[in-house]
Amino acid sequence: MIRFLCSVRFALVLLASALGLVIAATWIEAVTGSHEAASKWVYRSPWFLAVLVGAFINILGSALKRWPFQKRHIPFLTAHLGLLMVISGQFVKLAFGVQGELLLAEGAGSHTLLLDHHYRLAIEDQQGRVDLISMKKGRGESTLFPIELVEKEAPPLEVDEAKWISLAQRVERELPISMGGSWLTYLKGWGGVQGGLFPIERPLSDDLVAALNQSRWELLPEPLQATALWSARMIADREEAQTGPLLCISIASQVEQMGERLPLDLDLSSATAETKALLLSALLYARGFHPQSWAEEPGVNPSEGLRFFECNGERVALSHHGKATLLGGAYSMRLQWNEQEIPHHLRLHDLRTVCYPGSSSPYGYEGRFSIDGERIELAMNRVYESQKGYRFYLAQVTPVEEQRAQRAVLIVNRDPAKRGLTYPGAGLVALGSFLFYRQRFKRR
Amino acid sequence: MSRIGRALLLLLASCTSPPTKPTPVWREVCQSYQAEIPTGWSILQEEETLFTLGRDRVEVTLRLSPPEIKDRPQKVVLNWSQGLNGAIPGAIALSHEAHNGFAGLSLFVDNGQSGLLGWAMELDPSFGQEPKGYTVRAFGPLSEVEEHRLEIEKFARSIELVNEL
Repeated sequence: MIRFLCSVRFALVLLASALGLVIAATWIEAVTGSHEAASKWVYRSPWFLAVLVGAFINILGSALKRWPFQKRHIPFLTAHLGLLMVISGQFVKLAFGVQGELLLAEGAGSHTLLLDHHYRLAIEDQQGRVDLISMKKGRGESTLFPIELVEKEAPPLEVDEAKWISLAQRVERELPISMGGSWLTYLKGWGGVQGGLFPIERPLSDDLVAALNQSRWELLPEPLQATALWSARMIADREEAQTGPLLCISIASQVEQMGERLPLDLDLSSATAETKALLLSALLYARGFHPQSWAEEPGVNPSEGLRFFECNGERVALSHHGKATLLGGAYSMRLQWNEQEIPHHLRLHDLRTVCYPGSSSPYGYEGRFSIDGERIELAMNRVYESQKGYRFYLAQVTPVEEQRAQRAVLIVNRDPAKRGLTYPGAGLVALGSFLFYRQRFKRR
Repeated sequence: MSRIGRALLLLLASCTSPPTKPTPVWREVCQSYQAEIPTGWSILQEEETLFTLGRDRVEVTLRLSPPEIKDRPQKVVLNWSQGLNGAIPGAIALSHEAHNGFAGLSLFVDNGQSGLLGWAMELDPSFGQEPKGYTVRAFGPLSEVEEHRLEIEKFARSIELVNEL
């Protein structure tokens, strides 16, 4: 057995396994569009860990087989020591590394990370009672409410669906008018149109009509109701001129500036479902939302971090920062992330969307931050690493338009083994390989 | 010395110290705010709610909005664009801006001789704090406003509250 573990044959088995796993991870990432899915299924799976442990044993064994060591073994031993250091670095990173997200709004600061893969589910009923559910082996049960949850894997080839769900959750947070779970149907119905208001030429589905009839417009402040009404009228006046989404956003946001002075000459709560559908689209423009432009937005992949659950048989999708309604709106659910403080305080000053020259299509984001008082700039491909080894990546900016204070999601990680094990290990592998070829060259 | 050696020596000898960026000057303005003052500009006026910078014939004025008045950015920029006599409507550029927790409108308007760059910003209500706002108005001969436009924009985008939100 020990002879096999130290053999070239075992090394080949490990190499083939590693190759197979990396191919699988690449395929998963390509199909789902999610690095998180690849990481969960492959890089953090027991199989990948087993390959790493196997490689460590194999390399250590094959080096020790050369005992007693001689001068000619130096290149071989150097390269193998390097490999052992690189693999050990991975173990140290898995055990003691830090990875999480830092959420910041312009003008605000924080030093608290939301830790990836460490969460509980907060279920809240309409009376405000909250139950925190820890998922064990992908299952969880509420002690307060009749709710059973099962975590589901992200369905493949549903990136677009994930985008819609994530957008519906954002809209639900922005406009609390109790549309139940029908935002998704509404946004999909509207999203196929290039600009303009919600199309009401075709009959609305029964579900959507019911949701629109039950929507509670009186929950919105009157200036916002007036904004919806007058924006819809102004956009409708321009319909024949093929009003694009950006112009609609511009019209509606300018109307919103005057919302307090505009007369509210229609009782929106008692309007027909079709009228409400039109008014909602105008209101969403005022808030900078437009599903078409959002779905085409590059650099943002909302399926990252989107989690799928089954609640009493009903499928629910939940984004990192989102809230989902359960069982016909009787309960709401959100992810309650575990937090960790880092020894750096970050403040976000300004975010900007960088567009292709001569166009309004964004290709990236950049932001001005300060870390412990020192001013720094981050961009999609400009990473900052602190003296204490924390790396900060600018991952996401919302909203893209500068209509209100923007928010950034920073990915923060720390690999404690990088400088002590991984980088020197890689150096030793390179040195060992060089010495090995030099030795062979000399022999000839 | 070989040709390659001489070339290397020449390359090394021709390298000077890396270009140094001018250190930005951050300064407290109007008590609870701070901003990056562009180099080469002088401070013309400094009061509790007013701060004016000048360079050549361009003046940039930061004015804090009184807390009791809700200065809607739309209204402010409309007043400015109307105030510039003979403004050509086609030369007005209006856009939304958000930085340092404030959101509002920016405007560039010219009448062929004079140019005006302006910002009317309000604290984003999502922070749940008492209303705050400010305006920045840069005015001068068109050619000089255009020459210093990037510095003025950088100054305007740097204005922030000293304390975090």
